[in-house]
Amino acid sequence: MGGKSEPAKSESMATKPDLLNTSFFSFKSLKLKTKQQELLLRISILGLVYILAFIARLFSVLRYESMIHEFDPYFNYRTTLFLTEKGFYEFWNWFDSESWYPLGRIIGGTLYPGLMVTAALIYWTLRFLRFFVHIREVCVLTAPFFASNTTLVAYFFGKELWDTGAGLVAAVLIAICPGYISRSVAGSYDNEAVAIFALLLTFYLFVKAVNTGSLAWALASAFGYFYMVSAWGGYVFIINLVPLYVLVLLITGRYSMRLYIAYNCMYILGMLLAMQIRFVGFQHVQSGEHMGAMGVFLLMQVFYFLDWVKYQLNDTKLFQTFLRITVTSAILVGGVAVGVGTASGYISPWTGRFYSLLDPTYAKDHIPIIASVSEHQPTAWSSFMFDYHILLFLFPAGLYFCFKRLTDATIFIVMYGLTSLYFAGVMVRLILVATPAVCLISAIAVSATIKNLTSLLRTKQKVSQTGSTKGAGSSKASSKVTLDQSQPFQKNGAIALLVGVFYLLSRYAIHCTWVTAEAYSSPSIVLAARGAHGNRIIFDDYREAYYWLRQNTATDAKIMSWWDYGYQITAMGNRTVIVDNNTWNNTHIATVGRAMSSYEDDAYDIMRSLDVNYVLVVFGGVTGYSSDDINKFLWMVRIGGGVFPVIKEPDYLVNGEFRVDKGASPKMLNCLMYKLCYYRFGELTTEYGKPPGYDRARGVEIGNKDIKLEHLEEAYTTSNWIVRIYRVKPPTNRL
Amino acid sequence: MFDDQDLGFFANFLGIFIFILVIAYHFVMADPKFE
Repeated sequence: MGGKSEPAKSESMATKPDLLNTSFFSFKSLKLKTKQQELLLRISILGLVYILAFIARLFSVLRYESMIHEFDPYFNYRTTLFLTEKGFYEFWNWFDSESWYPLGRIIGGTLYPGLMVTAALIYWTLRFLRFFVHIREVCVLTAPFFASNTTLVAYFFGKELWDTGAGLVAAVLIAICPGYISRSVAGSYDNEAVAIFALLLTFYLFVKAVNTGSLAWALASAFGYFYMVSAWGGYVFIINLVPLYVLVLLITGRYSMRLYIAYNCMYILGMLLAMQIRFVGFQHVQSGEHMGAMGVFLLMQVFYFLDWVKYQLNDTKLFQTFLRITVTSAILVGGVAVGVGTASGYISPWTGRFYSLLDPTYAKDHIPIIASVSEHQPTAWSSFMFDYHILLFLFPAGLYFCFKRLTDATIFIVMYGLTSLYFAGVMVRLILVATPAVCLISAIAVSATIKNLTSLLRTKQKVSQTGSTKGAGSSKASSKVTLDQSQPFQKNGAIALLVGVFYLLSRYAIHCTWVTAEAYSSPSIVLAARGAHGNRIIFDDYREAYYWLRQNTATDAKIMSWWDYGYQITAMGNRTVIVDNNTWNNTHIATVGRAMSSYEDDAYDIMRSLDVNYVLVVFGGVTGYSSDDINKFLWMVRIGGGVFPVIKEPDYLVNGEFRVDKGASPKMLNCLMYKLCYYRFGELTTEYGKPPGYDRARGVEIGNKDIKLEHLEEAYTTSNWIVRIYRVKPPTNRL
Repeated sequence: MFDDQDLGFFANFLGIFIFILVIAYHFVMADPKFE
């Protein structure tokens, strides 16, 4: 507002005192100042986003029931239950004899306890406040609760990176982004549920520490890092990204005392705290994956020393020589130390998982057990579109804005975005790690665009007002008039673009809700399909089978199944399993793979050696459920064959093709897995107009309809034949 | 009873409404009087 408009305004107010005092008085007193409007809007948006992030994840609870989803969450639930019942020390020292029979598993030393401890603390707090909820409800709702908290962290992070507007947009985008929702719906009680919150919190606190140089923020980021280490193995990403970022700052001449304080404090304290987690132990000083962080830490000391020498020396030439010698010696010493450490075995080499992240083809060639998991497959383009929607093209726009205003903070988010997006391309599950970065960078693009458009609208209002009050007298006013002439077009353009932005954002909201409801809210343990009349059919066979095991088998019975179902059997069936989803012992899994792919006689010997009482297989031939054991069978052969060369993949293929019909290989038609899945299936008509023994999952008539079992007998088959359980007969009397 | 379809409608509505608020927020922030 120009100063000259003030008298005109006060004049008009003076002429109408009565109006103000009477009818307009109440309106006037209600009208908020701009700062108050801003505060009100900011609080409302954050409050609503918090609610939205929570409720958008409740589809599965409303559609099915409050239950734990998928595979790993069942183990987490079982351990949380143990923690709340027996206490922390029992949990920490727990040796589980119900899994990996006969080896067992030291639970306390082989898990990330962050998730369980968090849920237990929430549970105990609620109990303390006299809310007597079941621990299952707490576990089911942990992920949505932390997703809501993540939106707040995203807001503060966006604010730190750019401005408040970007923070708000980031909070909304991340609240409903399918890439994040896929791992944080109600019931998805997995490590990632709290880890993404911890990841973003650590990054935010670290960037804040770098920006301010404050020891307090650096300490906070070390504790954030500790929480992350306690929650998820993905902490390796932090311990590599942060040093990489520091290195980039050092190389680009952005070294500062702020950076020195932030990194040193975060690294030293974070490392010491991380060592308290038994599963991580001394990896920070012994593992090759953590050596980069240590190298950068030492490099920081060299930089500090050089800075000090530079201050002492006035001769630039002398300093240049000193610099060259110091940096070369530091790199040489570091290189020799790493070389000696690796050669002597003190520093362990990179793990297979780490290699497979850098090289997408590594796991396929060397570690079939990693390659066999569907979420470890390279990401398809469609998945990116599905999970990011408009963020996919807002991301490059956001990068443009970041590069236009390069600061220490924006350099961090650019590096986070680019590295995590690479990893997201290597493994589909890592879309989750990239999601916060994509949301933040996209939020910068959205906020900067809206800001430009709205300020265009606002500026014009101001100019036109100034122009009208000034009149056309002076030369200054005439220039305003020239501006005025271009205004209608600009204003309309800005409004049209603003409507366009709003349209895109609303499409994003609708897409996210649709994806969440249709794709990411299935518990996997209960399957749903559409009937011929469009009605929903529920297949609850898994739970039916596990409850049958619990109620009809001996308490010390040993169940053999493919490792996917191990956690569920121990959690719901309460029975001992041979292998489970922990996959820590490849040989043990290969033994099960070998048994499944051998003839019944050979498999019987293996099962006897493992004291197996029951064999459980998952079969989708009746319902058309494609994630069954027959479709996973080739992985059993590969993993089994990896350890036992007697199992050869070509024996199960015909001309390189995997078949189950009449053209299948003889070994395939008579192996244990085939027999257990298709036992009595030849008598069954599954689809109208098709011959008996028609497999609906593979769309073929099976090749071996006359299956006889010698050493096993059918114990239980669920209503839709999805789970089939067989009893292993005792050996026949040889006398 | 509030079912999943109602939740879908409500989530859509809330999402779009929040985006309106976000634009309104930027509009308020662009006010020259703000600073």
